[in-house]
Amino acid sequence: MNMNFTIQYLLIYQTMMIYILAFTIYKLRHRKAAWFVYSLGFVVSLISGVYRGFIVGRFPLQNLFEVFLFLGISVFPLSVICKKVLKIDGEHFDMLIGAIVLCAAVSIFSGTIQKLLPSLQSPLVVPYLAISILAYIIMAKAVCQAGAGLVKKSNNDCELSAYKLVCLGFPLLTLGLVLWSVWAKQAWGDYWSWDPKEMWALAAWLIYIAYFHQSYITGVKYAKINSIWIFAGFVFIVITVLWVNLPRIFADIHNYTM
Amino acid sequence: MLNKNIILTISFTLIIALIILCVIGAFLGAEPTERAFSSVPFAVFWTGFISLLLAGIFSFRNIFTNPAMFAMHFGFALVILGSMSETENYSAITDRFGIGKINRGKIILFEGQSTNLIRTEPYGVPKTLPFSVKLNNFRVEYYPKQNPEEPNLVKGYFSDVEIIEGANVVKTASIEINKPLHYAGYHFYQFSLDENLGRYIILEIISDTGVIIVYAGFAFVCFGTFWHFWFERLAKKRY
Repeated sequence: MNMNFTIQYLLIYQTMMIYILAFTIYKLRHRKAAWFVYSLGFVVSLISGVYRGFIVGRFPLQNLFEVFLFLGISVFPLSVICKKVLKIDGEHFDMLIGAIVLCAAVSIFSGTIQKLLPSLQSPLVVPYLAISILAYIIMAKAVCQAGAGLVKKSNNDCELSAYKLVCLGFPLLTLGLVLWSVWAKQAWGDYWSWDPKEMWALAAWLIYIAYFHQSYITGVKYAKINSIWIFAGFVFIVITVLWVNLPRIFADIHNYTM
Repeated sequence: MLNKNIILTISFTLIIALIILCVIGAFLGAEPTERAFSSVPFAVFWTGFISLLLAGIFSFRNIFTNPAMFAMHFGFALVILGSMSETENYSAITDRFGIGKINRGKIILFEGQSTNLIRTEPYGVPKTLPFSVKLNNFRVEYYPKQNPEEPNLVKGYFSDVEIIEGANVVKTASIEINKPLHYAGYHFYQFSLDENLGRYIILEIISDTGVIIVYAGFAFVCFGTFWHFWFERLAKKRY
């Protein structure tokens, strides 16, 4: 990992440290203090997002670096929605996920303005990426809840939280697949090219469908089996993301074009 | 009416079967998977899948009466149906009865010339379109280089074409990647080009028959999932 010491990067490092600090404080059982630190991290990440928009002179959501920065910002609102609206605990997972996402932003992607290949010059690309990765983050949170449910003795609360999170993430996952498909149709003439990455993505989507049907059939009677579906779904998502490692993904998109 | 439990059990089994097939497909690679998933045995599988979705809709009161549940299941059936209508097998059937459009093919166009010939697989006698396509010119644009050692990075491929019916030019367009031309029920995609040997381009031409069905299916599925999971499921206290 190349350490980069521009203002942009310093702001992101700072956010990551604050998120990890918030996680530590949460684990030390000072929840209020953790929330305060967490919100501070949100403010810093927001500043770094606005700063990014200011230097590039456009809405900062047009390449993977900016998408990951956006996700680093969005974990806090996500936690607030989960806590206040859906009554789901587990905001400490978000703090960690936020730090990991920002780590990906600074280590894998470059903040320099990229030259996009013809096939990537579509207004659908960024919404597709942002929505899919947001769905992945929510599914990651669901796995954390399902895992907590499997470890604890009485697991109904965790199971319900996991279920709600999958309900939150599944429509986004669906929309991500649809946007991908519409873009592929526009760029290459086919909705679906049956390549391994797409097959894993489809399999992951189908696993959540299987999960919903399973919980419709058996309800909470076999809560542990339901949790296993959530695990399987997330494993498939991880395979989808890592199947072709990141530089190769772009090599493949090169190959698609001509 | 069919027994609900039977439908549920078959659905669940088919979903799991599809997951397993997807994983096998992921290991096989894109081309064998595409061939397998559009083969005749799979056509039977997909027809079964659509029938099951429809059977589910009509047997479960809460799917039939709930707009969101209906949209999800019906939309998925539409997506499969629309995709099936784009396969080679479907066009083989319509060809036999002499109905339907050309499913897909390729047009080779030299600069300054026009043609109405389409090459379709298996490559034999080319088929003809009721109109001609003329290539006025094409160009490749590159990103400006910061230093001379940098490799050339393509910014875009542009083909300026005209559609000619009889003696009249009815449409002019510039085809780019991500910007196909749509005319008379066909989409024209930039497929390949040659700058050195003969200055020609290859356009891929694909019928739009299934597109509207698939997009309608996408719309139904998206509406259904968001409505059902966000506004019905998440709004409830218990499930």
